[in-house]
Amino acid sequence: MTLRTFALVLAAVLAIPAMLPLLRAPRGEGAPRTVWLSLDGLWTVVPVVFLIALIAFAAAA
Amino acid sequence: MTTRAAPTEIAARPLAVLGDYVRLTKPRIISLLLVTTAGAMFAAEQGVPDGWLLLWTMIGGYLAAGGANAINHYVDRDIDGRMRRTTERPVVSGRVAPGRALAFGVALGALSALVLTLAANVLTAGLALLGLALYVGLYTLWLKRTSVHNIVIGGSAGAVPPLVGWAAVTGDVGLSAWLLFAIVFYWTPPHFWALALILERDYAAAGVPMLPVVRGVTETKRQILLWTIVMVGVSILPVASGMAGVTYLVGALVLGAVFIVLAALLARDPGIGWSRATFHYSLLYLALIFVALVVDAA
Repeated sequence: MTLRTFALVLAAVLAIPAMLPLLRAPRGEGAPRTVWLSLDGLWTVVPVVFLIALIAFAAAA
Repeated sequence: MTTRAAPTEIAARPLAVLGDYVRLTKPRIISLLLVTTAGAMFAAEQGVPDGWLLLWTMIGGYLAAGGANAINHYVDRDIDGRMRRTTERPVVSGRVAPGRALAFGVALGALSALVLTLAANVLTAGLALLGLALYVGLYTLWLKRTSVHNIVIGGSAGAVPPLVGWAAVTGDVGLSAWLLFAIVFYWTPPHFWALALILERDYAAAGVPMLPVVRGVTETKRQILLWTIVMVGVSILPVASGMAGVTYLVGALVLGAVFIVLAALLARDPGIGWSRATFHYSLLYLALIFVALVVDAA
């Protein structure tokens, strides 16, 4: 396994499982129930899409 | 009857005014941003960049970020007055007129565009102005007051400086530049929320929907830990793309491991006892990870 492959696997293993719980509906007092239908839904998805794009481009580089 | 100012008071006044205008630019915050700009320049050059280009890019970067911060003082003067931490700021305390702070910020932004166009290229100047626009428009005017995601999305403004540094050296912004942008982008939420935990009452008093105010302390600590782990993963991507090597990888892993440990201690803490240490370490982390990039590129 090359250094680049090792780094790619490690980055994905760390970042993706940690990002997924952030996609779940928010908890806590005052958390909106319809988050996915609001602008907040978009703001929640942006960092996830960006992360996937970064990993894909880094892999393709 | 008028009261005459003492000679020492008169002599001190221009310095005090100058100090207030410097304070409008938030120099301490900018110093960290400039570390990321410089780090990106060394990485882009794969060595030491031209000294004059480095100097002028730092000056232009300071002017752009300083302009954004001065405009932030103007826009936020209402909520700054309701937060203990910010009541002594130059605009809210009345030492600098709001209109002057705004004009000063706009002037700094324009000057930064001129400096960066002449010293580097149009792309660099455009990116610096983009950072200013994102900070003022997306963060300060819009998301800061309306969304719990304010610092996540609005924080993208603070991630622009590495793009500025990279563009100054190469004239473009490819994948490597965006990977550096991403490190700062994913670093911003855990960094800022650690501070927001300490200032929760201030933000609540000002009506700013920061995460601890809206979702509570426990959820904030959980998200700080998750975002920190994501950030450490992202910090390794420059190695995955071939941009950085083993020296940087070791540095990123060690620095990241300490950050994760602090975030985990904070998450397990029944109170917010570890928030201050997490916040201070986050500052050190960002500076050192870009230093690791420089060392790796040397």
